[in-house]
Amino acid sequence: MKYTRLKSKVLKSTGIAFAVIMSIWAALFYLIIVEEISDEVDDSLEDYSEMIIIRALAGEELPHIDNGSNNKYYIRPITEKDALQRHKIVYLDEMYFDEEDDDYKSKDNIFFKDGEPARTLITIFRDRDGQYHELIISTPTFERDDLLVTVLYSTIILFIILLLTIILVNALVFRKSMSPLYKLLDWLNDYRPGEKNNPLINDTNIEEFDILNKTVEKSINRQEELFEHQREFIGNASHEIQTPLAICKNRLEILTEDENLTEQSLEQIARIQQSLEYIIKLNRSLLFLTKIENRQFTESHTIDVDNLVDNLISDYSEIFEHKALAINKVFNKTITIEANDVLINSLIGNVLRNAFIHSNAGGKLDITIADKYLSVSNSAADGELNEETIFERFSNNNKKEGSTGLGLAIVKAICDYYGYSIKYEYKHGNHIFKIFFA
Amino acid sequence: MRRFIISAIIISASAMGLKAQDSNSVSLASKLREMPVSYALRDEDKPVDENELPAKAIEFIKANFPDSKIALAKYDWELFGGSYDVILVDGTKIEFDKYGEWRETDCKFGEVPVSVIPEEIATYVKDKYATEKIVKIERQKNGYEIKLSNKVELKFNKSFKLIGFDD
Repeated sequence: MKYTRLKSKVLKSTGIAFAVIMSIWAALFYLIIVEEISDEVDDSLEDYSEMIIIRALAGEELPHIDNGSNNKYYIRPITEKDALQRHKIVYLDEMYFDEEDDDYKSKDNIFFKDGEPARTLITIFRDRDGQYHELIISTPTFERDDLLVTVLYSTIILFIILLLTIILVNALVFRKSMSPLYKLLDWLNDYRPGEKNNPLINDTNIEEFDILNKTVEKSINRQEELFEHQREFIGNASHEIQTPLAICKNRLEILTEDENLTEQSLEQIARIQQSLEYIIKLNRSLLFLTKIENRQFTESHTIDVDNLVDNLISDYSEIFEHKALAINKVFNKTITIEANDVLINSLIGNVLRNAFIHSNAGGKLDITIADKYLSVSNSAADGELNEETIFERFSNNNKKEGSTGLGLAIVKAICDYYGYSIKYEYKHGNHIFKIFFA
Repeated sequence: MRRFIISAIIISASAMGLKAQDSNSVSLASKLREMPVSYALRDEDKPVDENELPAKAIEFIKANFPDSKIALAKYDWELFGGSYDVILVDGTKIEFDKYGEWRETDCKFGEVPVSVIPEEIATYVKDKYATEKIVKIERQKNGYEIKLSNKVELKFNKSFKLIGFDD
């Protein structure tokens, strides 16, 4: 599912709607203007025609051919047969030439050059003797055409400007009125449950956004409360379980010393002991996590990371000797940090132990210390891990035996505690964890 | 943005198309005989035969201009009521509304027949402008307007009282 931003969606929709509506509007507007201007030309031709016909009929002097107006006219008698066959009033969008009329041709010089745009009105009328006459009036239309071109370009330019203005205004109004929404979204994005978050400051006089703000704040507060309860519960529960677990363990040990037990019973007890060990370990880890989250490790020491890494590697290579791993250490820089030794031990120990546990037999292990970071890379026995969830508690579905599923959660909690960042990468069949001490 | 340019092109193209249509080259002779298509679209004047005029208009002409024939009659289309323009062979132009009621009689180079002019106005002109002729009379909703041969224009209301003067 591809998402578009609300803003682009709104702008696109309104833009298209306005473009369509305004295109129709602009086209109609232009056509009306064209008709209006053409009618204006026709009106002047009609008036001129009427004037000449009336003067001719009244026997008055006709205007001089070269009378200063742009209109040119020619009047000639035609036969009754011709007159009755033809339309009495004809409009033409060109000059009118009659090649057969010598007299008319001789007057060519008074008309415009051939091909010049013109509008012609031909009117046939009858005089008192029943004789029909034909009056031809032409007027050049290049002025009209110039005007139409200007109107066309103006319409297009105004159309574009208007459309852009509408879209711009839309965008500004949208940004202004929707800003509380985006502020809220940003805040939600930054929000981390259980951590110290900035208070939501999002004043708005829009009712809907105010309701949204309040609802989100309420739900966040509730979530925060639940989170706190859960944490307390886990802490308390682990703490309370500790003693009974220790008692169980002791009792079982005492039980194994009973000589009356059969071989079978001893085997069962050994299995129970094994499970109990796991529960104790799990409980210890949970308790440890709670302690980290409650910030109970306040003591601080100067720790040399190189030394620590070196010691831990030699410890683990002894334990995992059977895996026959090729260990490659590259220490380019020394890293010294101020932190609690228990936490750092656990942090680096967990990452290294994971690498030893999860690499395939005969695989490769690269440990690099560079400027400000420690990188632990192991050849993977299985495929890529989910970067989003590996640091969550019990996220790994196919757990190895002896693993609590809390190791990486502890690692993440310690990193968060000191403000370190930890990155997971999967490259060329290797899991790579990088811790940045900064 | 592309969309806007396309719409602009469509508009200009349709405009060009219209112009191209205007100047198609059908032979002139056939154009002169055929009914132009564009009468309805543009308000071009349409020729009218004598028998197509409203009966009232024909009556008016016969009663007041018994000796004159029609030189040319046309219908001028307008959005709200067109008009008939009739030019008689003596150069008189008469305008009728679409029901055949006359609105204007213009005898620029002659004299408006007395039969057309309301008696009160004729008397008024005879009194005040004995030497002048009435060359044009307009009949409007709320009165009359006349033009004399000395270019003086007089306006009368419905009860033939002079309400305007223009020379």
